[in-house]
Amino acid sequence: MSGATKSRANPINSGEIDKVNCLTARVEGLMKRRIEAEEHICSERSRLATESWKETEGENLDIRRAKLFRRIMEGNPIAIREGELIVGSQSKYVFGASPYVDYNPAVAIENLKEGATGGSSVKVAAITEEERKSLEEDCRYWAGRSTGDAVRRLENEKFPWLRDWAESGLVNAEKTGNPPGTRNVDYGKVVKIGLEGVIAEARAELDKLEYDKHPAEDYKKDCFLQAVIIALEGAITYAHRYSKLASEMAAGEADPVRKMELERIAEVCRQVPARPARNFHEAVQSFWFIHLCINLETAFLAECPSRLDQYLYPLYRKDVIEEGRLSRREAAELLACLFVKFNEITCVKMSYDKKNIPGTHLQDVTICGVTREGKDASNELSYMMLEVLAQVNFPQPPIYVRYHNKINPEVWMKALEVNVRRGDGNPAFMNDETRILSFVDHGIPLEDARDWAAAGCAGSLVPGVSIHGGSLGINYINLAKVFEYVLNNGREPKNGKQIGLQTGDPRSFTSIDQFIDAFKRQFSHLIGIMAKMSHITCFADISNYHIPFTSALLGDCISKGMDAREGGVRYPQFLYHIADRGLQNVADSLAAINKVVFEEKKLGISELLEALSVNFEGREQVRAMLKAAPKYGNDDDYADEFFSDLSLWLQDRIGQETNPFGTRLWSGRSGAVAHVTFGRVTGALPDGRKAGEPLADGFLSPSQGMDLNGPTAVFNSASKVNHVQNSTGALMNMKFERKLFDSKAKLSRLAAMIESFFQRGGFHIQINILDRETLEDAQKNPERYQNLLVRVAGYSAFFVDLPRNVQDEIMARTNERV
Amino acid sequence: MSECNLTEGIKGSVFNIQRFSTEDGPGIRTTVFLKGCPLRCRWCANPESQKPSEQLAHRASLCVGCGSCEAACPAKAVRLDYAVQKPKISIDREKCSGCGACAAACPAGAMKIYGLTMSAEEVLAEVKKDLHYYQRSQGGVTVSGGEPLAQADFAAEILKGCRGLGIHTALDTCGYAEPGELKKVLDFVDLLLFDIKLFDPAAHQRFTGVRNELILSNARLIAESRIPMIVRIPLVPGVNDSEKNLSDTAAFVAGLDKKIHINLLPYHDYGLGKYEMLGMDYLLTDTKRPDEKKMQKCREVFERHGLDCSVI
Repeated sequence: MSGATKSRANPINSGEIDKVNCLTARVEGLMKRRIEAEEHICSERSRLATESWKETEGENLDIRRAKLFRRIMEGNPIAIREGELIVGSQSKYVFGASPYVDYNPAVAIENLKEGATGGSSVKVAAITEEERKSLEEDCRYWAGRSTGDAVRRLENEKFPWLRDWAESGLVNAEKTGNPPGTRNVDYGKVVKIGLEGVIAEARAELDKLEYDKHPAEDYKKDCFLQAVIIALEGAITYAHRYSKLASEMAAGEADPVRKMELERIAEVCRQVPARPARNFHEAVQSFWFIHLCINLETAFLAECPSRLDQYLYPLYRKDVIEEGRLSRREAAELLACLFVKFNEITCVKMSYDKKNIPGTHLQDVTICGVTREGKDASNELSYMMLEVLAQVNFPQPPIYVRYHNKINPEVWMKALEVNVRRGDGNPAFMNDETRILSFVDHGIPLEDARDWAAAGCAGSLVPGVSIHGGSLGINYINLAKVFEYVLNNGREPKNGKQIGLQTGDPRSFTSIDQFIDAFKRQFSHLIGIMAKMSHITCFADISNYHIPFTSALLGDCISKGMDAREGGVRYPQFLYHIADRGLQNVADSLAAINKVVFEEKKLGISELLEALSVNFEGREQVRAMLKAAPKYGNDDDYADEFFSDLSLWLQDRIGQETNPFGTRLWSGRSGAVAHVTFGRVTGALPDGRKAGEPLADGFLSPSQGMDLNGPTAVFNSASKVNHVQNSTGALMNMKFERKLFDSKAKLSRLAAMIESFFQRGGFHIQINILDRETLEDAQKNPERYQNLLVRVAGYSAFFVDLPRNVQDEIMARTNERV
Repeated sequence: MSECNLTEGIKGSVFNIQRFSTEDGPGIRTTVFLKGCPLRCRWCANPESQKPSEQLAHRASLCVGCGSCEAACPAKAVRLDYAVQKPKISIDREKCSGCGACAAACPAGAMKIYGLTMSAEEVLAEVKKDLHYYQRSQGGVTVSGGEPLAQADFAAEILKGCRGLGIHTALDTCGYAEPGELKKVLDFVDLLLFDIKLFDPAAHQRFTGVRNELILSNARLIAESRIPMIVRIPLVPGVNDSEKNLSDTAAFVAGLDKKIHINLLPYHDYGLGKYEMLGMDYLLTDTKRPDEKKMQKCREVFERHGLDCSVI
């Protein structure tokens, strides 16, 4: 075996890994503890942040934020729990988080309300009386001082009408309460050179400042670089606290095996993340500390490890493949410990986020793809991560496999096999070629484009040199609502308010082109306002809230001497984009109007509007006609062309606006289940959808139950879209019965389907393996299905944790070939 | 494609074209179901496949009770009643000619005509949509039924057209056809899915309406032609699951060629709803889907005869 693989760049001993059982007694213990852990809201981070902020009043913002972070590093409770090899806990609880009161106390206030559900999901999180009092006190301090308050104040002053927009459901103005954005920092750099190496870089930049030509700018840089050093030193202190704790525990440990482990942990934490990792264990621990620190500085929902199989690989290769000092079982166990850890990260969320992105974080791990030089990057560690993901059957981390023509076929088939084994759409698949082309098309140099990674809900960016703004500003627009405005001459049908442009009384329209034209004018009007608004609110947010620790690990913040959120990152264009949602319903509505009203002349426009206004009550015949019209997703150009033409037009139109950093505004077609919240406030539509029902899911999935020609037809329909133009990716969900793919031979059909879709430019696909009976039974007997995973929109969650309407919606999605 | 030189004007009756078909041969396939079958198997899961002529089905779940069908029917075969608030459609099957006027008038798609007259070119246009998937998965096209050999010329045109496009072809047949009809298609078939439902001719007649001597002789003919063949057996409890029947069948197949693969298809009653929609009677009551243990036992019978056998 070794002889045959020696010539290969990245040898993979798949047979050995297939045999590895990483579910050791240790790992099972860690898993059991996590499953049994109650979610807690805790107060320590909040209190430390508040104390620090009070003490630093009057100092520079970057310095204040760095000191706040350092205080958290010095004071946040630490714990090494039984059996752990990889250490570091977000709070004193196994599963608990402190709200980010320094960004927006509204989150804590909402969660502390009587009867509030609390925590990250719809389940009630626990809180002690003492912690409640402490948090309430902190909230009183931050009220009026926080970034959230600054943004709201500005919105109220500048855009008093935003309330109308929000109520109508045109945009996502009922906003997230946590510091927005996905953060894909350069973890690999820390594994390689250590935080001391990064501090040295910051010092070198400080030494360059001469204050002669641009004194004001240099002073800003000076403060930022000082802040970076303070923050990084804080993180080193944090790890050293763990090292000390491990030594103390080792001294008192009776069990000689555990004693040795604790001594090893003490040594590892003394070395990393301060200095370069010397072995695989240290590399994993270094990564985990950084990940934890990012979450403790500030978190949204999406702190993404990115290309974990790349930056951990050199030490894996050295320890496991070259020197044999670590067995594959030991390596897999370390990975399993890490994967359990991902599931201990949580975040206190606002009800908006609980509804939209319920369950857990989006800690996207990206594997495979090509190297910066364009060679296949898949390796034995990619393969092992997939096997460990299958064995540790937890929601986190979501793994995204970058597929390309030269991908190692063993790794590719393993990814498909694990997808079917788990059944929850994890791992999901993304197409390298489309993404790289797209990024190059958007002005990113080829080498950086090749380094792309998944971010958030099936989005993408260049890790280590860019971050997403997430919901920074108002960034989701409901296209179905825009179409409602076309049907109502710019008025909101619920209350008659003139929110949109007067695009004409549709009763006077005599062709489908007039509807399309009205839609385009309506959209242009609204997107123009949104873009302007975003420039103002984004900067209200950015200028009040800096993240020096995160910035230190993002290129080129140190060389630019600027916080990541202010534009210090190499590609600030990722910081803000517009997510247009519900195009499937718009295309289907256009197809139905064209067919039923203009071609068959079975229905007048007045009758149509009348039927919509009464939500088809007593107009079942009208609804039936509309539903029978061609629909997107059936490989029928009639509806598909409305979809693909408008998709392209929307991208172009959005691109005519600028983002807050002055570059071309991007359209983001990835992202959470906004179709449920947007659907709830959208009236009946000409595609036959009733008021309040969810819009079509993702960006590319056909309307629920409307794809009748099977998956190849869905793929063909989705392939008609120009995917390269989609700047961050377009979400596509599909669901199959397990038995379709339950053998190696059958699995090759799944491969063929995905490869064919990708060959024609498709970007993202997530395959769920489920059957309706299981879900129905789970809804009735949740206690029996605590472990049932489903993929909601770019991530997995425990089905029983999801709100009822999301459960219903998942069940309503077509179960291909029932 | 220029090389497919289709004979002008051959048309046939198709009741379904199913894309992403995964149980009718290797890879991702499109299965073309031709209408009309000489057999009347009691367990038939596709009752709409039996009659060669057009057939009207009423899908009550989609019906909005508007009465458009009643108004449109030239033969006065369709009537709408209201029974306890729910609309109820009655169809006089004697009068219904399957003309489709009601289906065209129905706004909800609740009236469906099974049986569409199509040309081979039209079928190929549909088949071509998934060329990508056939190529990638080593799949192709399966012509099934009904009994495709009941429309052998049409089936041959479709298969020939697929060959011209480089698509792998399979024929799914019950084998009940004159050898001359069978020979029309064999030149264009890469794989045969051949049913042997029952071995005893009298039992075959009782449960399917015809004797099986012709079927068995066709099986020999195919075996001699060296075209790869899979023998498929729908396993119906109380009908053909006896040790003797399976053993006789196994001995016969093993005698033809030990390389022939056996597929066992456990009985299911998923087709029941279609009987109701078509106003037809289901002839096999109280039969349960055989469990895995039973299927395993049946599989062993074939394996004892040295045959590869799988349950699908």
